[in-house]
Amino acid sequence: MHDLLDKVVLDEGRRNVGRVDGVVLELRPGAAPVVSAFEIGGRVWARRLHGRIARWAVAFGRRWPALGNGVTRFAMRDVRTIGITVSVKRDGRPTPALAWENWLREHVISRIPGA
Amino acid sequence: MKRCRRVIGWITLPLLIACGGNDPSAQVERAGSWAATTRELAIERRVGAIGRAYTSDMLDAGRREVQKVAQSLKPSDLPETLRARVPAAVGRLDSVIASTASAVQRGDAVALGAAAADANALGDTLRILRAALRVK
Amino acid sequence: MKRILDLTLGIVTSIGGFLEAGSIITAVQAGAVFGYKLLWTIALGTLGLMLLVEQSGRLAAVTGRTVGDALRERFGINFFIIPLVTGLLVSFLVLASEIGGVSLALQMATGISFQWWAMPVAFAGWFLLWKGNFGVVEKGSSLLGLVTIVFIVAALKLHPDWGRVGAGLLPTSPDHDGPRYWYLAVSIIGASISPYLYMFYSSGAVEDGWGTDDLSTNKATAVIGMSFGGVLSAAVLIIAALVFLPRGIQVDRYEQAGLLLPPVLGHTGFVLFLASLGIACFGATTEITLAMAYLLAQGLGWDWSENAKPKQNARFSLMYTVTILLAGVVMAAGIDPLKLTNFSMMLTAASLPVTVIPMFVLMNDEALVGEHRNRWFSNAALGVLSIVTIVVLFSAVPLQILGGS
Repeated sequence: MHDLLDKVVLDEGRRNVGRVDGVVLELRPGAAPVVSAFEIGGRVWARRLHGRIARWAVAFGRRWPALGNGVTRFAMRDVRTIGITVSVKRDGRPTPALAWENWLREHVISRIPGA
Repeated sequence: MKRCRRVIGWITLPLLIACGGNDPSAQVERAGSWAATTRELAIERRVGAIGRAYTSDMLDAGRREVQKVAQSLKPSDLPETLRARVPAAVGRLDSVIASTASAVQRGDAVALGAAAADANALGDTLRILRAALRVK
Repeated sequence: MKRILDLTLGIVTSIGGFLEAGSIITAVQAGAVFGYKLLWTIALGTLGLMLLVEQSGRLAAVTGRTVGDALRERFGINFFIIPLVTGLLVSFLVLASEIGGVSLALQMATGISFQWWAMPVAFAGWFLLWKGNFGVVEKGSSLLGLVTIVFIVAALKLHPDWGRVGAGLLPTSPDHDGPRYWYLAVSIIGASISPYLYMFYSSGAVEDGWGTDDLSTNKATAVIGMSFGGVLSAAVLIIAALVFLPRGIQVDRYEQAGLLLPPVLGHTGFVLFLASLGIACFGATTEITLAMAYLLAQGLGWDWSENAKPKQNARFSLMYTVTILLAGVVMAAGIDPLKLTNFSMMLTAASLPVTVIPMFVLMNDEALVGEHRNRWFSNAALGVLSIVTIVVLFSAVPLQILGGS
């Protein structure tokens, strides 16, 4: 698990998707829990910080849903390699993790000359 | 929330004490520094080493700072023997800065030279007064 | 041949980038009040910075991770949030004071108040970041920053008593005005060891694609470059000690520093002081803005690269745009530049443990840096530095109250 957390995630096109903000554990009866997926999102790492901060993050996401980034989940079977970075087999561009990046690029940054 | 307010109070109280409690010797030292600054401004302006805008701005700033010193010096803070001399010196400094400023405006090199000398003398006076205050 | 060129460039950029609003005015204040007595703090700060720069460069060259990356990856978000928040807050105030520095230089040159210059300066900085790439930003402002060599020329021209200068390099306690002495000592440390400097450096190393064969260049750049920078700060202090102290001029307003060089170098001195102040602070403006954006982007996993076009790192570009313009607004609002600079130096010094101590862990982590981890000497020095930063942290609040104006 600690091999995974906080590492940079690259998609199939070697594009930067974000960082592993949290992991999803699958609880199996009679066996050790196993990491079934990992997640990317502000809400996710807020949860790791402190309960109260996490609640603010969720409330923030609910009040301004457009501003929140949503949670992007990658199952462990989507993972190609784990090294200094984590490579996944999917395309990161349509995921919520890059929603803000894409939106800003189209609607704000590109409008400014010289971008 | 109440605890927040108390903490803020604890922090600001010493800050207020520190800012309010300016001892007169430090204030006189500040005035002396501005006398020296005025002298230097007059000297450098006279030879054209520094710009006119800069000199005027600095002299304006100097007057404001010296007036602040004058206002903060309360007679009760000063020992009796200096109670008249210190404010008088600070007051004279204010007028010297003012006449330096007008000399700069007129471009009057002679007046600038005189102003530098006045400021120099005042600087010495203030230095002596400061030493006297620190002894008390 | 390329190695020598790289080295020269590295040293040159380090010299040009060292002086900024804080290091200049703290050195002037120190020299004007205490003569050479505070030279040891400049030496201490420079040594500390040298250490941190070399290590952050080594980290980047060996692992390909910047300090921001490494802080998040090695310590997790729970810890990372602390250097992130403190780093951004403190750097923002320093950034505002740098914009103030450029604006003041323009005010002193034109007579137009610095408040009017703040937004144009911020826009100019933004423009350079938007259109330029890392090389242009770093090398451009640093080469121009060589104008600061005027301080060395002036200091030499004043023929200081080198014996007494040397004596100032040994730590002594003050014979008057204790709180103010230690206040300035701490501020100088904060001005010398600005965290943005060594964090920026590691990002630069990654942008330039450093590898393990660049390690000796890194070491030389760190040692020689930072030494030169320290010499520059020391020169400013020496000039203040020989020009301001005997005349009894103390610094109440930042602009009084304009009188530093005219007695030595006449009108040329005045012009070159303004140029030095303006250029040095402008360079710092762009560097700090980038450093803040790097820290946030790297920590949260966004694309970040000054070499790439803004379109390719939308969040990163937006971050630095908002940051620099907001800092401009702060100065346009008319905050006293001297008070802000002094305060932000103090704050920087107090926040040092948060980034220095983790470097200790990072540079000894065999899994991370392997055989390039710290030798005992670096560790000993870093350890001493860490203790100094903790002492500084605990003394910062009382000093700000007692010694600050």
